[in-house]
Amino acid sequence: MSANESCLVGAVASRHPVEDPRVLTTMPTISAAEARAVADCSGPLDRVAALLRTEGDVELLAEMARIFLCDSPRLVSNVRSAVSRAVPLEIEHAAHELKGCVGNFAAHDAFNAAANLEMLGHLGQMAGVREAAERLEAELERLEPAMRGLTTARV
Amino acid sequence: MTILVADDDKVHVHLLTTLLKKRGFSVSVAHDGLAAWTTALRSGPDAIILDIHMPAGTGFEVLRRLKTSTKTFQIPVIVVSGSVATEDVARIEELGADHFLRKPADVDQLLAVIGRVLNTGPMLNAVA
Repeated sequence: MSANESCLVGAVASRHPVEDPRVLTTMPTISAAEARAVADCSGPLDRVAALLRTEGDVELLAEMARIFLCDSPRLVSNVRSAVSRAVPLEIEHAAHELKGCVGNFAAHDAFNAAANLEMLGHLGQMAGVREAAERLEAELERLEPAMRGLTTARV
Repeated sequence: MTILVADDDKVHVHLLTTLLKKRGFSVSVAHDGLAAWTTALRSGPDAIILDIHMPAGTGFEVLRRLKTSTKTFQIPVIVVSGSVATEDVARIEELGADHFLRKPADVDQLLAVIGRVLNTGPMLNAVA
């Protein structure tokens, strides 16, 4: 089993078998209104938007955060490698992958930082790439505690 | 009904898989282009949710193969992509995608599209 597969297994190990309709009634879910009540839109991620994407399923969001925390070092490493090699297509793809991942959590600042780096790679504009990559890493560092918070969050 | 989710974003795959299973779908997963193509060919899913940027064969190549093979051309393909390139959208359409949604896609919108392409009506509510 690969490290990533182990992460995924670990993330879902404690999850209820949602295919069983009897379990659905006991799943920890919150309404959109409740989600708004716990909103913290000033942080590095928009919990309301993220919870709306999971239909208020706090456990699902926690699993997604665990998967992100397992996978993000690889994604960051890909970005660093691409930037150090200065290959525009690699930069575009690595930043794109990270952008998609943080986009799942409505982490707007990290998303925009990744999108900016992706665009520089797409356009082949190497000037500013290092600064854009540093900004992305800074946003990811800011995001990490919030992600860890999601893995233990209860409503 | 079975839906193939082809995406290398494990977080997105887990989100979609969970929400689709809640609605009674069977879900198969492919994390790269080659696996997406071989899974589609082997198992003939009822619909495919396809990311464009994947390792081992881009989503474009998968889409081209799906829409030119007599075994798979009828399978509805919903492309979900966060591509920044406007030419990509035109290419997705040219290659015969049944629907295109920009990533991160609104989940309700995606489920509505799935319901439409499968002629099962809106899939907005989980099985209770």
